[in-house]
Amino acid sequence: MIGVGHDDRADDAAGPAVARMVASHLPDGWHAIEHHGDLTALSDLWQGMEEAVIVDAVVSGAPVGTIHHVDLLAEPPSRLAAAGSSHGIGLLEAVDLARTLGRLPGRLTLVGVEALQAAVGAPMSLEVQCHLPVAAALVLEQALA
Amino acid sequence: MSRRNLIRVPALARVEGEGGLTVTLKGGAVDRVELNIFEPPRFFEALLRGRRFTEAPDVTARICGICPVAYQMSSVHAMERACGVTVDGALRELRRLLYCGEWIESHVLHIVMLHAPDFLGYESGLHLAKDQPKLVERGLQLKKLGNDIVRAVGGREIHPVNVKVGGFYRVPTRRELAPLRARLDEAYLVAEELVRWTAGFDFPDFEQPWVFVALRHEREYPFCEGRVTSSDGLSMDLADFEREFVEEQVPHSNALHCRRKDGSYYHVGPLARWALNADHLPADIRQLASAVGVGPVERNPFRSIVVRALETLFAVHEALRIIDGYVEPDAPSVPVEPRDATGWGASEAPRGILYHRYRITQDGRIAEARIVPPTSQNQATIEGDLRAFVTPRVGLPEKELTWQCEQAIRNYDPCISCATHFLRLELRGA
Repeated sequence: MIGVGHDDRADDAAGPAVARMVASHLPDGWHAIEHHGDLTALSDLWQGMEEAVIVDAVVSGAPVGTIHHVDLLAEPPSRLAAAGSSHGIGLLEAVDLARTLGRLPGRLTLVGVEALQAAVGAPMSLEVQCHLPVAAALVLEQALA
Repeated sequence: MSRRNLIRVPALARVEGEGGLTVTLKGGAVDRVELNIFEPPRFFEALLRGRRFTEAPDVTARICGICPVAYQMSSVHAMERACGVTVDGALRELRRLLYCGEWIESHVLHIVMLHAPDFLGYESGLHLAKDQPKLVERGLQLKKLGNDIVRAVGGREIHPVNVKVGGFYRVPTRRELAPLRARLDEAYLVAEELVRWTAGFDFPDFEQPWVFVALRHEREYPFCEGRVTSSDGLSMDLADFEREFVEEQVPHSNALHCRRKDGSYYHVGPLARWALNADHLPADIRQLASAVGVGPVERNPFRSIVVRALETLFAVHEALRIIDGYVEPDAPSVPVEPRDATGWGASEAPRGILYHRYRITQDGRIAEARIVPPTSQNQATIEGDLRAFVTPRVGLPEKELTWQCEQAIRNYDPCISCATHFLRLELRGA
């Protein structure tokens, strides 16, 4: 499982936080990775894997803290709106790029945590903190299935 | 105001950070150009005050997720100068190797994924990958090598943790560098391929009479050391930087603009380094440049992509040289004792010169910090480019002109802020 985000940017820390929560509970063969940036490198992490779960902060308009569970292989990224970030490569573009280059894992799932903000140095929203165990449980459920 | 009198890009794509562009036309001519940087200020200089002088490399690395090594190198050089310490030998070589990794990863990302699509008519690097998957794959492998070099020397690829004032916390063994060495020969071929590929693009006929500013070292293509030089004859010690270059606030941007003391603006980055340092490049790289039509001075900002590719080739060449000659040092760092002093440091970040100044006290606290990043220095130049570029093209269809303006900004690979990964997610029909 790959927790994407930045510890110092409020709700953006959800991904790495969940990675730390599940790290010692994952079954053999699974690894928890904290990924702080450069989403072009994501496919290097999941290439050749049977399965990968991404945990990332998302914004969809749902109540803050909502946990989304999306099968990224069944749900073509084009059906999801363009990434809100203006940065070069967003998660969905990284998935699409890996698809194009034949670098997808056998199964790829997004556990998205609905975020409120990503201000530098701000604390994580209470709603997000409260729902992190739900995201962690979802990851473990999938890993143990 | 009619739409034809306004070119507006509310959010620039394929740049690092959040910014926009507004070009206002009046009577068929360009009236005002504003590069709007609305990324909030982060007050790093104030944050550093009162911190230990040894914290500067780790704190400033957080300014940018793309070029953290540049911030670390500028800060450690400034602190070491303040403390009267010189780091040389294998430790100096490792610092250059770390910088090679950063140039490779940053340049290749920009060349392949962010900038090349402009010249080839693709909406994004993703669309380019669909048509040219092998080329993009090879580019991404080269970029990954850059990341892996940063990880091997710096401890991790984003915001490295192994850099300290005086050297490193731990140095890699020759054995640990061997797997990188094995990949560098192939990387050299890929970098050469990038040079030839980008040199074959069609470039708009557009040149600018910039003054170039870059570091210049007596014998090396610059990474972390050298005098501040310009194409109009400036050559000065870093301690004089703020006497020549001044920062000022502008209403439309959260980032400071830099100008020279006479009010003129200047250009930093690969084209400036190339113009002022190409004689220090290895002969085979200079020959390749000549063969693909890159002159000793390039004034067309759109051709910066070719020079970035040449600098990538140099970084691979330099990494090969350093690893081949690497002898593990006796100690991972040299001792550095603080004193009441001011220190200056600068390095050539992928986007241009990055200047740091610190005043520290004898008890090792930072009393004052000043950081001038390259994109801040290039902002006025970017606006000047846009003004000159748009003026003869105001008759173009709005969509085409807007696209070309965005492309003109991407020539600078502007790094508006470090990345956060906030995904806007909209599930339709779910």
